[in-house]
Amino acid sequence: MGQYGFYFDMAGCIGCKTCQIACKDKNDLKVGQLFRKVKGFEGGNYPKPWIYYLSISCNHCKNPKCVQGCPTQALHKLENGIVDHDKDKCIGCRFCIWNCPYGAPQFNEETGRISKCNLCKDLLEKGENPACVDACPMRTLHWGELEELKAKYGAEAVTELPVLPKTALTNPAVLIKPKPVALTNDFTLKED
Amino acid sequence: MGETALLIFSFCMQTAIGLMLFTTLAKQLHQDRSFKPAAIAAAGLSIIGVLASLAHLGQPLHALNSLGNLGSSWLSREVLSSGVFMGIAVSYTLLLYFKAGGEALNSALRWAGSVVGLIAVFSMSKLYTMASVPVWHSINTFVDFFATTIAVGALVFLALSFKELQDADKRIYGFIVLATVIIQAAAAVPFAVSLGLDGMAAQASAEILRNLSVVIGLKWLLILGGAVLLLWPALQQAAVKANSGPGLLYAAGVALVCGQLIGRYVFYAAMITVNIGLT
Repeated sequence: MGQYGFYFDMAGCIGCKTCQIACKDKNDLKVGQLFRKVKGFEGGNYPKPWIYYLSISCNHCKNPKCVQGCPTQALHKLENGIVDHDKDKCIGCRFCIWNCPYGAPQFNEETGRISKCNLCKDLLEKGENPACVDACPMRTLHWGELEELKAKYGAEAVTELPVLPKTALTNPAVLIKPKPVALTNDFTLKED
Repeated sequence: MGETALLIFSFCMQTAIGLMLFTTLAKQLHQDRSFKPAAIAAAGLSIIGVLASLAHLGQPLHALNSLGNLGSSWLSREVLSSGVFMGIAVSYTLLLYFKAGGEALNSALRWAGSVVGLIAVFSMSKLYTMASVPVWHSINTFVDFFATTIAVGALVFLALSFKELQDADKRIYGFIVLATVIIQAAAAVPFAVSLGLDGMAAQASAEILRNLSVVIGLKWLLILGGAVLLLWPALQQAAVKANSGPGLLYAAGVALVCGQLIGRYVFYAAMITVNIGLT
């Protein structure tokens, strides 16, 4: 079985955050916890200001630093490449939060454990899509085997962006079709 | 800063390991002395350190799960080596206190404790340099942790063993501490220069360090001042073959411990993790 991953069409994203909310609802996340985040980046000057949005979750990296560093093996890779979390093993040491360069693992004060996106593996097992993918009104999010996503969207998609950590760190399973402005190094994180 | 438990763990554990190292060294130099207070302090500090590390966990009752990934996790290795060190330090103290073990067993425990302790300090350093926190990605993390182990360990050892070492030449300890803190200071300079040239997360850490520059200045004053304060009377005593009171030694100890504690606070306060939009 190949590595699963996400494809995101930035050019189509309007920053509505429906994916973020669908994910939060599906996973019943508390205030302050987000498995999928939509971040806006802006720049430029009048008359050419620009903005773009990036919807991103756990990238189910091929070389995940969270899995490598997790002392309990609560974080582990499944056969299909999903980085899953076993809450019974987790001791809430939060080392994964220091290790993940995407801010994917989220600490829950109530349970004393972390939790994270598992690509809605329960929905996948039922033949459905992840909640974020189905929720997107612009159909900008897709999931599948990374090699198939590359074959379908690879010509226009990138893995490196100036706002993202270097892919060499963890080899993330994500493809992004960028807006041209997303390739510029001069950006400001838009406030929510 | 939310890492108080880790600060207590790393500082107490490194001090305890330093105490074990200097007990081992001092026993080689003075075989007729027992250095019991240092042994008790090493055991006590290692217990405090381990308890503090448990307080950091969201699920402390499942702490033993942390030994589940020795194959790839430096945190697992740190937990194992720190736990074994604590076991050795406590066993050594109990044997010493109840006079139950022979010198061969005691010596084996001291050496084992020293080696395991050094492995624990290496594992601690390694796990911080592995994290996605650029301010920790440096040889400086190793130097800082080993320097704390050696310098604080030496000072606390001398303060606790003052009576037993009253007539002894303490220059060797003074020279070791001074050399250690000079290496620590020398490593900090290229580290500070290179940090500002790195990515956005590193520069955010550099900004925090700039805002803490007065505190960092105080840290170096206390560390270097403490080391000089330790060596100076030791040199004087050797020259005139006389012994002074423990006042200066305690002052050196307090200065150096406070300096290294400030350093450890700054270490955690400057933590900025690489993230989206903060590469």
